[in-house]
Amino acid sequence: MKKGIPKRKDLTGEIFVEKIGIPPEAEDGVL
Amino acid sequence: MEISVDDMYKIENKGHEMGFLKKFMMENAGAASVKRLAEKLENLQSKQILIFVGLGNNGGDGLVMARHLAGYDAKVTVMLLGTPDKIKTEESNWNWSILEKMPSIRLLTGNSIHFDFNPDIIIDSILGTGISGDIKEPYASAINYINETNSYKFAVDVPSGLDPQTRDTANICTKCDMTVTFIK
Repeated sequence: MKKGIPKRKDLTGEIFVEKIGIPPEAEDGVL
Repeated sequence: MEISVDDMYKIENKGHEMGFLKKFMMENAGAASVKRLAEKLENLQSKQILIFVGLGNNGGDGLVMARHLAGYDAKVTVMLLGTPDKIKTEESNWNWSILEKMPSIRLLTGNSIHFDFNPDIIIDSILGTGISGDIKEPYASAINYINETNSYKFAVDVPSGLDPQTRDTANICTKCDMTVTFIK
């Protein structure tokens, strides 16, 4: 999840994290 | 796992270049959001749902949600904060064009933040991860409206006005009950 999201639960309320189907190979060279 | 906004952009762009187009990411984001909302609140059939939609891809996620919520027989109103010709991305335009063919969804456009009903649920798909500077009209008035209602408030990816990288807020920000955010 994006770094700042879990630090602002006063604004986000309850947080759910969902995958959106991007191939894991798209991470190569990024992470 | 936490990820930077820049790295998420890069991963999305690489996925798109691989052929998993951004319109599919948008579809999955909107569908997953509705599934979570339906699990949380149940019985969406009787609910008045107002979706505030910005002109970028966060707005596009809201357009996908509108279509899926229509499938739950919810009473869906989409408020596009601007005019359709100003929608910025191909993916969002594609989703808007579908909604234009759906009489089951009420479409509003422009700058007027006045409604003839009290929504049970408001969906904030105004601004996503790419905010910079102060939030201008009509987005600011929409955010004020959201914060002043007693409706259940749902943010798509990030509450509008929150920088998901730094956790700082712009001059104004929505305060939501629930946020569905996305990773790869």
